[in-house]
Amino acid sequence: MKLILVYNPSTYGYEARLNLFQESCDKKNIQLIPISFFDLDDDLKIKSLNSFPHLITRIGYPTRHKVFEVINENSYFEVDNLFELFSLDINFDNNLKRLGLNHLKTVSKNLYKEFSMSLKDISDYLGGFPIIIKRGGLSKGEGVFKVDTLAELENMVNLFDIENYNYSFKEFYPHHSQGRYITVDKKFVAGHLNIVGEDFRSNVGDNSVRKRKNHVFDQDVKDYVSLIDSQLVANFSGYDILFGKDDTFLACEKNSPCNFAMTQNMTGVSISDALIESLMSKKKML
Amino acid sequence: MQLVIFVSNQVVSDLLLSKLDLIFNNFELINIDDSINPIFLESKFKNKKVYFIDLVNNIKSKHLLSFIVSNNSLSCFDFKYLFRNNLHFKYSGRFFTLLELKSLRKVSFHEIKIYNRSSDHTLDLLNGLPVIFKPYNNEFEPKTAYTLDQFKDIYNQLISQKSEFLLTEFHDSFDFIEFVVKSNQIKFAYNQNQKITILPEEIKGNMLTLASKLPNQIMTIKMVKSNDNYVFDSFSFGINAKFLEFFEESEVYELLDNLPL
Repeated sequence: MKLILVYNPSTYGYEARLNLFQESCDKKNIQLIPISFFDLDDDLKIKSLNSFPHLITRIGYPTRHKVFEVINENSYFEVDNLFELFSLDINFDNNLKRLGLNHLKTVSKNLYKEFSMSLKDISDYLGGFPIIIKRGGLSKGEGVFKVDTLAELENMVNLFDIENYNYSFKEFYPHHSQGRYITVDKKFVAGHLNIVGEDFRSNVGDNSVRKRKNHVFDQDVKDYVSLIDSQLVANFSGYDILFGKDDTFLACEKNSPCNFAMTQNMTGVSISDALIESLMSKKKML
Repeated sequence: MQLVIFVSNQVVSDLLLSKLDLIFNNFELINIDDSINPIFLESKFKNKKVYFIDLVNNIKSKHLLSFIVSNNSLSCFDFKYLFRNNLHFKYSGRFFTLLELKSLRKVSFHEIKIYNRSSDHTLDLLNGLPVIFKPYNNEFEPKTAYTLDQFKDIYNQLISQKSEFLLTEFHDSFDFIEFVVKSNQIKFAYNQNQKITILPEEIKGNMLTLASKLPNQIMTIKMVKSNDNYVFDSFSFGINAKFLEFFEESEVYELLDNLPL
C-alpha cells in the first residue's frame, strides 16, 4: 500500500510532519511517496508512479486542486461522498455565530469592499478600538496587527490594498493562552497549551514570549469543539482555542490540515498514526 | 417569522415582482445592488426568526447572507452546505471526470498564476480557441478571444486591472437549460425562454447521475451548449429568479413545501 503525500515546501515545519508520517508508514508497512507541490506540474513524475496509490494526503496550501489532478490520474476513490471530498470550510467565525457559540466578530475584506462599508462602522461593530486586522495565509502570528485608532486602521488598509493582500477585521479578545485541539474523524486526539502572556496574538513563533505545556481540556471545551466539528467538513482539524481573562473561551481558527508535530512530540500521542488509520479505514482525502 | 428575499439589478423584473407578490403574502425585498449597510442588516435580523431566499446567488449575496444570518435564521436550503463553497465546479471539472460526465472546461486565473501556466497549456486545457473570459463577480462583461493575440491582449489587460477571472471553453451563454433538483430528483427544467417538460433521455440520465451525488436540498444546476452538446456548467443552492418567473404558484409551493410561512 502506498501513501502519496503532497507537501508544500514553503509551509512552516513541513519536514517535521514528513518525518512523523514516515515513522507511522514504516510501522504500518506503507510506502510513503512524498511529492513536492512544485513537482506536481511534472506530469511524467506523476505518471511514473505507475500504480494506483491507496491513500493520499497533503501538507500545506495551495495544493488542493492539484491534488485533484493526481486523484484523477489514479482514480481510486470511491465516488461516495464526492461532494464532501471537494468542499471547503469557509466563514469559520460566521459558522460559530450561526451556531450560537462564542466567536470573534469578523468582517471580511470581501464584505467591506463589496458593500463599501466604512472603517468607522466596522470598528464600532467589532466593539471599538483596539481591533485586529489579520492578513490571510500566514502563521505563527505573522500578519496579525492590533490597531488602536481609526487613522492607524486607514493606513493599514491602504497598505494592504496596495499590496493586494487578503485580510479580515476581527474584534480584539484579550486572552492569556491558546489551546491547540486536534481532531481526527470528529474525535479529539491530542492537544496542548501555548501560554502567550501579554502578547495580543493567538500564537507567536517567539519562544521567549510563548511557553508550552500539556493540557487536559475541560468537558465544556470538548463539547464546544465537538459541536463545531460536527458541522464542518474536514476530518482532520487543529482548532485554536483562546482562553480569556474572565474564564471565557472561544475558537478563533480551524486549521486543516494542521501542523501536529509539536503536539505529537509533547503529548506522545501519535497523530500521524491516527491520520493514516483514518485514511486506511475510509479511503478519504483530508 | 419574517421572509427576506435577495434580488439584484440583474435578476429583478416586473414579472418577478408580481410573481413574488402572488406567491408570498408578506416579504421584505433586499436589492443587494442598492446602498446597503451589512452591519445595520445584521442588527436588524439579530435574534429574529428570518427565512432567507437568495435569488441572486453570486459571491456578493453569499457574503452578505453569511454575515447577517443568525442562529435564529432559516433558509430554503440546508445551512450546513451554505457555508461550503463550490470551487470544484470552477477547477477543471475533476468532479465530473470522476462521474464520467461532460462539463464545460474551465481554468481559473488563480490556477494559471499558481502553476505559471503558459498560454499554450491553458488553451490546451480549454480545448483550444475561442475561449471566454468571465469575471468572478460581474466586474466586467465577458470577453471572447478568437485568436492567440486576442487571448494575450485580454489576459494582460485583465491582469493589469487586477481583475480576477475564469476562463471557459467557448459556448453560447443564452443556450442553456437550468434544472431545479430536490432530494436527488429533477423537479423542474427551463431554458432562457420557457419551462421544459420533455427532456432528452441522455440529458436526463446525466442529470440524475449528478443529482444522486449532491446534497438533498433544493439546488439549481445549469447546463450550457458547447460543440452541439449540453454540458454541465455550474450549480447554486436554492432557486433562481427565472424559475419563479416561469412556473405557477402551485409548482413553487410544491418545491418549497417545507417553507414555514
